[in-house]
Amino acid sequence: MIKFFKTILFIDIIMGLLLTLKHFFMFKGKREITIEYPDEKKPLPDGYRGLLCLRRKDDGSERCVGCTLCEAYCPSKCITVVSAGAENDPMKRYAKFYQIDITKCVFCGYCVDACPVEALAMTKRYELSQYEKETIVMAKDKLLEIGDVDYPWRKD
Amino acid sequence: MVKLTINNKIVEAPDGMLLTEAAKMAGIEIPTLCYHPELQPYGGCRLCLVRIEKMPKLQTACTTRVCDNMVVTTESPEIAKARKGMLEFVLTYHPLDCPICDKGGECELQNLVFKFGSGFRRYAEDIEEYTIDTNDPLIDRELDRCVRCLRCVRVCDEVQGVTNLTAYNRGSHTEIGPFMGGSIFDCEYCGSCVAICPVGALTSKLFKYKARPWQTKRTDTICTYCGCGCQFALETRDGDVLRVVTDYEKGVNEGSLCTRGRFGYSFVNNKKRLTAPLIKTNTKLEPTSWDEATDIIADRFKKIIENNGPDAIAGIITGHCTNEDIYLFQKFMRLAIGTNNIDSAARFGYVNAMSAIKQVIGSKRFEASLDDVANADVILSISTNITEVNPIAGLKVRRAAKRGAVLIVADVQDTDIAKFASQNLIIKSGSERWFIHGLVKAVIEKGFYDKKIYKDYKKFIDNLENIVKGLSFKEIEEKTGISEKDIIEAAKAYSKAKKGVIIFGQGITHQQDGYKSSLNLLDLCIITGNIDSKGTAILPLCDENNEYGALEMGAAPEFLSGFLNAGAAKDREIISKIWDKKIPAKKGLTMPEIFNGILKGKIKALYIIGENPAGTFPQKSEFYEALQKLDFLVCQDLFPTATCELADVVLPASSFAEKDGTFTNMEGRAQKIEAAINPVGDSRPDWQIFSALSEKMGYPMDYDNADAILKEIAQVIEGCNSKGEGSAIENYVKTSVKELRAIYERKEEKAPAKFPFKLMLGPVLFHSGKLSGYSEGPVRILPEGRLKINPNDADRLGIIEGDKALLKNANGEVKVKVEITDRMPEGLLFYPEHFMYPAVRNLCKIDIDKDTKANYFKSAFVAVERHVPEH
Repeated sequence: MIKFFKTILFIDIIMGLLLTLKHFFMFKGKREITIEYPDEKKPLPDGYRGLLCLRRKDDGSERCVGCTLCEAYCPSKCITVVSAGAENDPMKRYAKFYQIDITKCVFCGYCVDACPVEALAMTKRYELSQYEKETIVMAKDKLLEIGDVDYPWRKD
Repeated sequence: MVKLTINNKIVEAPDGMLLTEAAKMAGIEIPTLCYHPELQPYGGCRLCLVRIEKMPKLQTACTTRVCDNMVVTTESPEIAKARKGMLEFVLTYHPLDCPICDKGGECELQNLVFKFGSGFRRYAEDIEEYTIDTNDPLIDRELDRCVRCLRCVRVCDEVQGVTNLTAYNRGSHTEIGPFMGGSIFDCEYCGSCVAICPVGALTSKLFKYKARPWQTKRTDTICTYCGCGCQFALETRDGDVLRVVTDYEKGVNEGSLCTRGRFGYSFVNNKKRLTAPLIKTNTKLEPTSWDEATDIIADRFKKIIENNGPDAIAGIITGHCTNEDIYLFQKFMRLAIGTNNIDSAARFGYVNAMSAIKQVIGSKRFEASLDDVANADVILSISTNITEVNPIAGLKVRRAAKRGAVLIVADVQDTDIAKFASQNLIIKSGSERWFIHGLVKAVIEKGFYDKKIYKDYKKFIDNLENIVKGLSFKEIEEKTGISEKDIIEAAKAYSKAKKGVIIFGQGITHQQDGYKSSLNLLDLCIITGNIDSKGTAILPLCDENNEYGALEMGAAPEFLSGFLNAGAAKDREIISKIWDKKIPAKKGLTMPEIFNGILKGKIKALYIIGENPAGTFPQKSEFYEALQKLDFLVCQDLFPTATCELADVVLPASSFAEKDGTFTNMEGRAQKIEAAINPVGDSRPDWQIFSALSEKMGYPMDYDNADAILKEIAQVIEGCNSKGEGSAIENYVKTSVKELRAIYERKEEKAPAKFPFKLMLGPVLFHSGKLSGYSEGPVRILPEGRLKINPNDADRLGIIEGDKALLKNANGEVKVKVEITDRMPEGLLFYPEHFMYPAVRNLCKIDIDKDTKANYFKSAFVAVERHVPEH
């Protein structure tokens, strides 16, 4: 019987709409739920896994030694490393070519874990959408540039 | 067989087997570091400690041999602790620079520590630091990383027999280095030490920091340098060949390689490679498309066939091509063009040995294997510097000699293998035939011949006796410099052999009367009974990897595929049936005849694959002139050669790393090669080029892949076998005295008074053919050719090491750098044939063998003087 009345009087629907109405009259700033994204940004926790970057040592030289462990560990196979010996010092190993295909990256951070020289790091950048896919296939110079900004090295 | 218990598992193993091997057989892993299956037990690292019941302490499994009722435990807390301790001990000095170390990813120590170690070291004192040694052209030494397993020292001694590496100083100060000190290895550069090093202490400069092992693709294939046919794997990444690796139990080489195989791979990615077809327009070669290039070739060939007949076209192919390439080329020449004018690089001498063997043993493939060499009890090595020309065959000889086989070495110079020889006979250059006849004479006259053979072939031996009677030991000694006693001793040793093996090389096959000398050696085999019993062999060495295949596939005017006789109508019939087209009956021309034909205007067009006559023939010779006289020259090669410059069309071919197919090594073993990378540039595998050309010539030979060709080859060879073989030896021993006398003819060459030195050109260890010159490794070790000269001769001429000498004869003069070595006898000079400049070859003249028409240009008489540089 109660069910019958509930059905013909749209009780459930009215109850639902009341909740909407409640939120409609709620004042902004008091119990805010919506963040107006492009103007406002959520504070990110420490350890947030955003865009990858390459870091430099304090003397300005690259940290990366081209060991290719990041490439080996990467679950989505988005890192490509070609290592080589430095021309002036044949015993110095470095990455001749380093590329992260951000379109494939799943931001798991395994590569950062794998890196034995702390050359790879994760920034808190996450706005990565681009019109051209190629612009987020990032080569070494671009990754270093990001690293320079987000992990500044001490200039003597 | 003994029964023992390992970890409560009953294991049956042959008596005397090492415990590590027995455990491995049972599927139980015992960690090892200094142990290697190829090497003798050493027990240096003590990682393989196991508990054996009734023994007081833990025992090393890699030095303990199994015995009955042994009870072994390999896993227990006690053993785990011991392993952990040993690993920590190894790590006290080992730097943890794995991210930089080139061995990372395939490092045995890394794997062991990961599995059994603690990854932590208590040792906090300063550690001894070694300087990193990068002075050697190929091998970097980083002794910080060395774990003193001495595998490198042991492989150098036990497997390679070079004993160049040694460990000096003691205890933890032990260092590994060349025996003579210094930082340059200056050895055979086989690279075994680099391959066997479990850590990154010895690394290859060529591969340094190029890639990690998990990044590369591995393709099993066959070496393309010499006739040994060693198996190895190419490691490639993105179309680049990065290095060569081997598995120790695989192939004829059993994991060993020589310097050319190990370090001579980078010609594949050389920047100088031809990448597009070229055609000559206004005396300049310009790139074009495949379609246009093949159109031009087909058009010109068709026109020449129309005007001058098919026999105005000839083809020469190199012995570096695969069987499929060679087979298709001779099919193309014989059917699409319609001529038998086809020859291969085997004509430079190998054909002598093969024709002789075919005549005596028959059309069946001769069965001499490198295993026979390794297991022989007497080895007679004649006129070959085997460790340099065919290093892996040399390794087998070394192995046999070390095992206790009698090794008799006869060569014109003191060779490296001679240090293992029981008899080292240095014969005078040009007297090889006297020496061989001396052996035959000694066997017959001293009654060393096989008694059973004497019963069967009495007449033949009597005939031989008649012939060698005229030759006295005194004359032999005068000519060869070998005393009667030595010759008799050698002949006795060889004839008493149960497993006698004769090895002969370029000194026989690539010299005047090479065919007859080969027959003489076969006679020696027959009369001593060393011809067809198991374990006996006669093995001609070949220096291009597929010369055997070139002859077997029929790239010779006298042979059809499967060594069938091109002159016999019956044999042609067999192949024609399979091919569905008649093979031209007209006798084809051999290489020297082709060049003569060009001079006479009979040959108008020449199709050269992989050969470089303009760069290898002496410039003063008629053959060199002939190349300029051609109406139409097509060149198909990997690199732009001197011949390509004369060519009207140049086609880029693919190297062995870019195609599928098979190579047949000098044992007659056909082995598969596999494409490791895509063809470089626009190049194509040779067989595809022939296929495309044949279509335009109006006789399409269409194959899906190299396997399809191989199937057809198998069909053809099967067809040959159905012919039925008569017993060739039975026929051969019926040879009349008159013919035998011709075979035993000796021609003396006299040095003209004006030119007293004999100059020989030959192969050297670090280079073979022309490809090694485009590879970084061999070039780094030996960048230029040096004339080898005896110290006494050098003294007399006032030449010191590093000087330049002026070689002169009627054909011209050349300046070359000199290397003084007492390996050369007086009056003899040696220059590596690989090097094009300075053009020492120009001093030689071309000799043509009367029997097989082989052409030789490996020796000359010259005068030498010191070259005084102008100031």
